[in-house]
Amino acid sequence: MKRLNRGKELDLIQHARLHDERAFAELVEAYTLAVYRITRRMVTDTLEAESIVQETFWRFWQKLPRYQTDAPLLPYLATIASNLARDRYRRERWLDDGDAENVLENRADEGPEPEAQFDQKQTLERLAAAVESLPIGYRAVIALRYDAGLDYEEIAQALSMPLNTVRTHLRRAKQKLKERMEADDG
Amino acid sequence: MDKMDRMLKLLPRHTPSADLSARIRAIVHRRYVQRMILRHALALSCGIGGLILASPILTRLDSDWSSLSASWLIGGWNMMNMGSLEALQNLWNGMFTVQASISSLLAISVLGILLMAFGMFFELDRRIFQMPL
Repeated sequence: MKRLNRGKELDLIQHARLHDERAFAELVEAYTLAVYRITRRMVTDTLEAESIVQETFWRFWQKLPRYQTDAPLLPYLATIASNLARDRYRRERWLDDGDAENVLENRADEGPEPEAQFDQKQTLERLAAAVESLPIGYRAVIALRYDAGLDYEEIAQALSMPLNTVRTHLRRAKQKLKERMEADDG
Repeated sequence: MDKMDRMLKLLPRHTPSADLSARIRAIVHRRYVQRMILRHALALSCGIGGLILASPILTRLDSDWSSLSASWLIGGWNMMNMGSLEALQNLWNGMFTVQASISSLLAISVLGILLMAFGMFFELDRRIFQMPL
């Protein structure tokens, strides 16, 4: 995922701190897509993902005076976005009394479409669906690693978890996905 | 896991609505302006409220600075309280309920000065207003 160069990013942040809305607009332009992709991987609804992205940038604007400029911006935005997505997920889960594992099981019952089973596009779509059915914590690391292209340390920073936990989450997430895909393949 | 890695990198990427960035800018701008208006209104309220509460002392200081200074030296706080009481009676009869509840005009005046200071701080320190209230 393309990022602003660090010098330009810092310059824009300094200007945005002084309430320069044009500098802030440039930051929004630069990072909307990345933040959206992270969020969209974590929540299944497009409108909700966009709403989270909007809220993410508003919170960033509010927190600008306290933003530590030694940290890169994308992991910081990813932290806000993933926290918002997890909060909404927990709230919905509490309301629905649902469970990500149930979703996974339900999806498994749907069965694969035989004619497109070996088509790469279909495979990737099934994989994307499988990712959506992962628990939110696993989805977060997948989104940050593969959609935002963050390294392990940045993911650990963004999700406020130890580096080893990030590695474990990624390994388990991929294991679950592999099992899910193998189950689909019969 | 290498194959899974490759597949995850190839996952279909979601694309947001074309106007998402514009909507974000508009929302942030609107909320920011709302907050600025709230901030100015709050600063103005604090300033006016503080001025009203502190007006007895300010009037006294303005009308007779030297004698008040002498009073301070001679009579201490009680004299200032009396002076405040007189001026307050002339200016704001309605404030007596507040006076009764706080039971000291000096306290009211101090509260007024604090409110004015808070109003000025609220108006001058721009950085604080990007923080959640």
